[in-house]
Amino acid sequence: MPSDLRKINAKECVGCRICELVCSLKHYGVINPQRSRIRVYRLEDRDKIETCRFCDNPRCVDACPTGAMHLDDGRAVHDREKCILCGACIEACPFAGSLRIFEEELLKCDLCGGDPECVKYCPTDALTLGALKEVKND
Amino acid sequence: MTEQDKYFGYMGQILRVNLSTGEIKKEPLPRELMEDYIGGRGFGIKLLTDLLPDPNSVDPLGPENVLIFSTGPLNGTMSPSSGRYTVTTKSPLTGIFGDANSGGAFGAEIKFAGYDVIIVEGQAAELVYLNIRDDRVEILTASDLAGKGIMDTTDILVEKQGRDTKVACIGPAGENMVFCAAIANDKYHYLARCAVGAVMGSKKLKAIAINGTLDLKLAAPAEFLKKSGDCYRKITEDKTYDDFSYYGTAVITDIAAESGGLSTRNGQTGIFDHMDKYSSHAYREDFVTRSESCFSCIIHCSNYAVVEEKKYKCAGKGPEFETFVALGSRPDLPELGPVIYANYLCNDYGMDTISVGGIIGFLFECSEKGMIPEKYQWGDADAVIELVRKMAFREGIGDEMAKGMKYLAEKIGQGSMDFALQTKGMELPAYDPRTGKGFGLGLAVASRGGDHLRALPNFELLSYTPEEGIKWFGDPHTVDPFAWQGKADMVLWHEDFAAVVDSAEMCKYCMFATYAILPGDMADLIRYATGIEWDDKKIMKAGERILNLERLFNVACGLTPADDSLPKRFLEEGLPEGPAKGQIVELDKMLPRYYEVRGWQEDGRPTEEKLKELGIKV
Repeated sequence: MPSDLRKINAKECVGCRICELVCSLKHYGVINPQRSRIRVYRLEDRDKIETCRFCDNPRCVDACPTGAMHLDDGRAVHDREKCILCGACIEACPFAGSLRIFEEELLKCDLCGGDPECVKYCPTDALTLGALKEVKND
Repeated sequence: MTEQDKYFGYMGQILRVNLSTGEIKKEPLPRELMEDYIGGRGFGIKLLTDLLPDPNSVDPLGPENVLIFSTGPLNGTMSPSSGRYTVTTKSPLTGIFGDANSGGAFGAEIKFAGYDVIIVEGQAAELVYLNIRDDRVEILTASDLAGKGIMDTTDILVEKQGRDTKVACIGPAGENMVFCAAIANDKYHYLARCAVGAVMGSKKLKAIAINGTLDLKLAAPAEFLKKSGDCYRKITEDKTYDDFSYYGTAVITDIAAESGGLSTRNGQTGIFDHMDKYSSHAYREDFVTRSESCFSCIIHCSNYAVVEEKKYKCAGKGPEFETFVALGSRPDLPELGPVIYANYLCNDYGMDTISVGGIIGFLFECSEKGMIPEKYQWGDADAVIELVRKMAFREGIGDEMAKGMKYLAEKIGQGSMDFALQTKGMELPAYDPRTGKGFGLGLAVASRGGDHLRALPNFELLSYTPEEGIKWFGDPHTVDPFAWQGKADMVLWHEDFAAVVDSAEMCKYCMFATYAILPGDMADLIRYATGIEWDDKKIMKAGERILNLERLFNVACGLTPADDSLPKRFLEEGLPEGPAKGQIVELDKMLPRYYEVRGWQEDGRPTEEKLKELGIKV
């Protein structure tokens, strides 16, 4: 089950892809949608958002053979050091495209440590802070 | 350190593909090009000038013509509305400089594949497409795509090359070298003007499929991100933002109707009887299912429209203001459904709706006046749809229409040129210049022929106060759309700034709908992206340089000052009714001042002094 840590309302997405750009800039200091942990694909009459949903009982954690994908405060977190790029987490994830491998690295959203750039720069209500906001405000 | 590590904002590479020889070359992007011509449109005219040193001898549809796809330093970044790019060529429609500009995501993808510019030269022996994935560039057969529309071609190539692939392609109209053929990218975004699609067709290039995975580096990432955020705020706080983001350019239909200048029955009047069906509100309520944005755009002015009525059933990106007029009010169609359907057909065939609709409206008037044997009635939607199809496939009268309005008027004769709404051979856009005199001047002098986007002097339409007119352009009349005074200086500023915006490849709606983003902001964005020392004055000078180089190209093609004109209808025939009753375009009052401030001689050429000042060597 996806959590409401960050709310994703795909119906509101207009497909500008600014989230991809700020994500890659934040994590790598360069702009490259392929490095982004959130992707947006224009389908015929809608846009599809692909990123980690921070499930309550994440299957990616169960599937990981090395403990690279592990639980931290009940949420899936990825440890790059332990990752062997086997792709088991990608197979197990029910949301296609949320986890990807690009240039020998598994890409998984980390919510920028609690202050996600994608939410900050989203021009519509497609990405908003859910439970994360409450946690932060406490 | 590789060659590309030295570039910020740019990828540092030009891709050259010769379809005659099959040769594929990659060349470093020259530093002078960046520092003098910014990118996009500026790169286009500079490279066109260098590649075609004797433009008058070039057959636009021959292998000697070139097709230049160019991006700017802001493409690919989060700078607001930076999803545009330019295609430059010698236009078969006008015989002079031609370019077209489009949004979507294709421009950004060129950058991510590692290129700033793609130059297509020569002519393939049979229909091909270009497949680009970063460094890998292939010329592949497109025989299975022959005759296919934009929608199928795009779907097939994305399916074949993967979902990250962006496609620019031509439809049947481009293959048939119709003189209003467009190049479509991302299905619904069109490089529509100047018949660039016919040039692509002449090269037997059906499509470019591109997919990039490379990093775009910025010179000052933190400052760039902050500046982009500041610009987002300026745009969203502007009074026009809410309407534009919800209704899109359909709001301009309302403005034009209110001013009495909604071009109706080929511009015979500015009063349109069916506004209840055409208002932005009616369009949105009756047909639009959602808003869509181009790459990195917070305005998201595009609309996805669905027509359920069986006869006109279609779904896709809906018409813009220009098309409501071209395929709607110009031929006087009472209902919007058929207009959306005709727009969809133009899209799938790959044609410029402004030119197609303009030619149909002209033909309807010729029929009304008994100048041609064919019988057409104002308001006949099925005739419009039939003519769209005939043009794309060059059937019957469509074969003549496919050669452009000017050709058609010359052939029909009988004084029809007086109401042929074209300039320099290109069909004029929607806004009736009798209700916006700055627009009139802009259309007359535009470097690519009858075009409103070279200047886009919206300043005169937006109800600014006379005090603001004095503050900005030194003349209170500049805020009065019906006044001609002060407009030359105002248009000149808009033209130079538009050249900057087109070269950086941002969308003009950020600055010419709101006047929130100014030359200094553009200089900041480009400086933070590239590390090149731009300021507001230097960047406006670059805009002026680009405009003058376009002028030089046109003069070399044989253009004279007599070509800086408008159809007689706009110069002598006052609007017959409504709030703009009696208005004409006083072009003769504005042109001399325009030439004077531009530094252009009586023969239309920039003076030696002006060229020296701009550092243009001839």
